Amino acid sequence: MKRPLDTALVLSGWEALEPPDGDAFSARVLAAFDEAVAPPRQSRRWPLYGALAVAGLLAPLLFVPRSSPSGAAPIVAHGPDLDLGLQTD
Amino acid sequence: MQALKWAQPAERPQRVELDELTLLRAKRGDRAAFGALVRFYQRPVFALLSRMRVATDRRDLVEDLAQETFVRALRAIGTFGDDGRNRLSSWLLTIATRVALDALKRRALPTQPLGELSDIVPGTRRADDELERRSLREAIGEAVERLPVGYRAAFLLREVHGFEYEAIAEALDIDVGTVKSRLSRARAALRAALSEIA
Repeated sequence: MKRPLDTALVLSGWEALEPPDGDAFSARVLAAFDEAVAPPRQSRRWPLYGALAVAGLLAPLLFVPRSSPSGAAPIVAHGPDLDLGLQTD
Repeated sequence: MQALKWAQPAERPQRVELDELTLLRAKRGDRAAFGALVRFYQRPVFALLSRMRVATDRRDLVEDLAQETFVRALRAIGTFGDDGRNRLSSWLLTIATRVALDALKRRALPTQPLGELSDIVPGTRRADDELERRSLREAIGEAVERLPVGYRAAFLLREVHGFEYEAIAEALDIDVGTVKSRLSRARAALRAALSEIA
């Protein structure tokens, strides 16, 4: 039959750290909690980000060739007209 | 070295919980109640985190993880009890366990016996002299160090913090059969280590 484990003995060699004395730790936790739940600060750079966003949206419109709404290069025929020697009456 | 006596299985540790009024105030966001909650449970949270060996030579890291545990808890305290739980200690220690396991996954943590730190709580049992105590601590520390972290967590939650099997299973995200298996193996490993000492 197995002997029961002496948990108290095990724990005597498996010591635990104590929290700091007083309220130091709870004060630290509350400060971290406040920071974690604080609303995000408004960025001072938001006008710059806004302008960049608008420019990004408008850029495709500015660079599309007027002759081709789809943005593809227009098809241009090159070379002389071919004379196939066919005559018509 | 004197022969060690073998104790009878200990009863599950009794846990005292925060009073209901303070808990209710904390759930409503009362800062004073938050502070009271942290002070009430900081000792078991520190004990669990340090015994999990998340930072055996870094007190500051244990404090960081304890802080993370409580911040997570305070952010979610408004929902505590919604799922039928009624033990705040179990809930907090479950969070602490997961924080510890996450930390152990994230980094290869340094190992240095806790006994070398100056601000350690002395063990409850006294050996005949300091040399014996040191040998005992070292032997147990080595045995603990060899335990896989999942086994260590299961043992601590059961034997130190009095969790039921189901609560351990939930905390470690494993099934109850695995909990029992881990506990059995952890006890066997520690029993073998103690036998060597004796």
